[in-house]
Amino acid sequence: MTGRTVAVVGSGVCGTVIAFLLAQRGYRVDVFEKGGDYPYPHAPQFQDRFLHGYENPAYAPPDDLQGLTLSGDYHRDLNDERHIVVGGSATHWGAITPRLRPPDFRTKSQYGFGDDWPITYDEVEPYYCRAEALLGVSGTDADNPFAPARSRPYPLPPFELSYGDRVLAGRLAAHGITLHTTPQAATRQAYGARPACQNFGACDVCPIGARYSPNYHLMRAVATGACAVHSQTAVRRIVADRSGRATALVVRPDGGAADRDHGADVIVVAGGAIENARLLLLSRQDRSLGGLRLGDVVGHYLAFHHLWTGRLHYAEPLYPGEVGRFTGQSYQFIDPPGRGAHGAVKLEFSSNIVPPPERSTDGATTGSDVLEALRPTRAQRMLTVHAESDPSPRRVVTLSETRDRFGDPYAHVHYELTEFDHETYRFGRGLFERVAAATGARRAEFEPVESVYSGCHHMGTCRMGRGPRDSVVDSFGAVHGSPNLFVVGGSAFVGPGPVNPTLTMVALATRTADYIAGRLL
Amino acid sequence: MLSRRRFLGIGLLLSATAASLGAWRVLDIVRRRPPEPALGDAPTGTLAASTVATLVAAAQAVTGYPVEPSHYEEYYRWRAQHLRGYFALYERFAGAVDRDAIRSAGRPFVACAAAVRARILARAVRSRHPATVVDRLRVDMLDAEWPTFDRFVLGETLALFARTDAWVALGYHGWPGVPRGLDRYRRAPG
Repeated sequence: MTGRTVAVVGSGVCGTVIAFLLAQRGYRVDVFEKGGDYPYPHAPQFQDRFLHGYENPAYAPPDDLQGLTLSGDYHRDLNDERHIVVGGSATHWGAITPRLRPPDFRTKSQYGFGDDWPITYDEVEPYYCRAEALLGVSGTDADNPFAPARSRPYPLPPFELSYGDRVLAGRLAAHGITLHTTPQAATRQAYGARPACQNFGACDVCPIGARYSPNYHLMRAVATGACAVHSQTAVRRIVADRSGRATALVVRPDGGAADRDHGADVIVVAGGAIENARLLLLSRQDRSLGGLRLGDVVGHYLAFHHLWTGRLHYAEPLYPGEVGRFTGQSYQFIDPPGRGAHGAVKLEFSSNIVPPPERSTDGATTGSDVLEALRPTRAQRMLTVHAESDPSPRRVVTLSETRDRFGDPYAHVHYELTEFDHETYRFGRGLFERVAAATGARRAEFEPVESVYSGCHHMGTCRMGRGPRDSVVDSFGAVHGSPNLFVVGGSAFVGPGPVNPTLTMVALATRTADYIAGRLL
Repeated sequence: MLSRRRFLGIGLLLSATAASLGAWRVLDIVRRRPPEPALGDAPTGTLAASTVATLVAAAQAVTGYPVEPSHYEEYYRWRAQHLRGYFALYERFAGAVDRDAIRSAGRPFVACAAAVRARILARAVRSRHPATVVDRLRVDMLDAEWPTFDRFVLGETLALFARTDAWVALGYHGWPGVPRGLDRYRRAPG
């Protein structure tokens, strides 16, 4: 080992990638995770949920450590969107891994909304390739004319379209809409130590590790002997010296009687957009801890993706759910002509089978009742409009009035829908209706705008940029004024774009790891 | 020594009191909301093989479908061994349906025809929404355990069916939770 030390806050996908890459290079890495251990592969969790019908409370963090408060136009429970366990939220994710496209990095100069990133697609592209190799992404661009250019092929072949998706793809093609395969971090074939997907259909608790979980690399980081994971340990503050250099984390293990300082040469904050902002705000206001200097941008420009889902009813069965993976998506509208007046949209055909509320199996008295409730769902498809939001300073993470077990304020999230978002909803709804007509749906229902769902994609709050006036970190994630303090993950995004963020998060984290190893340690 | 008149007076008073108490109880049952079924907190335990067999027979009867028994066996055994209240509940349920079966058909529940088993389990449905005062009284006095059996045995069994065998009954190649491979999903079932 080199003797240089790194402390990482959060064991989610970005914290894990950085820990793994730096531990491999001989740096001592300590990962601090508020949540508890989470078995990997997730066979015990799969057995609990699918065989035993049991939601194990052992995997939930204590109530007095995981709260936040909410105001504005977002009505879902944000606590349910964060999985506070070793491995983080990507222990449960859908593993859809598209890339942002070149225009997504310059929405201000190209479309007049949001802001431009301080980095281009071309600069990130090599890291996209490395991220796809790390995660084991299955995919192809052969059927997707809207995919961005790439310098290396996907590491694995794609999951072919399901029967139902192929039927719909044929009908859509006749109306000029392309439905294509979906890049995803699940193994179409065996990859490294991960077996090929066997289509258990229990993807969010994949029992065999085919769907990527960060625990895969966290285990390997620990196996180097250079990495330790401190689970059930809350990070309460970041300490900095008078020059602004970060020197230590203030941590408290679950059940511990007192805080302790954990010193490190480099500190990486990777706890998700909401908790990253919270930690920086708590540290900034605690003057006794030295000189952590932050501008006024911390916490602002919180951005969710905006997902609205509709149900399409057909005359014939399409058998959603025959495969657990989402196989069909359309990128045709992720750079539409009206972008700027509204956001871009990705269309997702879900593999989920969901009884409509009026036909729930609750109240069933016989198997026939159950079958009667479920039978119509064979001929239904759920279509999600996965939309870009407008990064707005009115969406903000601050500190709440309510406090955790240590007396530290929780995060307060204020989230408003803007006129841009309402226009995006109207655009997305129009696409839904167009798909319904093109595919011959007998009936179609679409959610109201207030049912918006983030997709568990929380971005912004510590956005990257060229200086502290309008950003928190530079393009490597280094906090302005604190050269050895980094913030990674979706919180460093300038704008959400219309596609799932995780691959971009991992690509940027890989770039940050290279920067830390090459220039700081 | 009591006089006859005094003896009769005391007897009349006791009878009137008992009748009043009974009437109050009836009124109480009719007026109040039925209590929510509760699982209880009895210790976990290992089910007897006969109890598991009875539960699976109940699953086949309530679903009306020739379910593959292994995942039902696994479900009941695990819950009895890991979640408080279920071991005692399952044992009580098996005892109750066996008593009914022997009374009505002269044989244990597992040995009864499907129609007989379904008739016995129909007590659960009748206990769910008693329509009349007489139904309410009957549930409270004679079928007090059946709302609990309905929710925690039969209701959960149907939920398990909805997650598993129902998919096959609807024409799918298999249900989520079993390895289905990456070939058949590209074709229509059947």
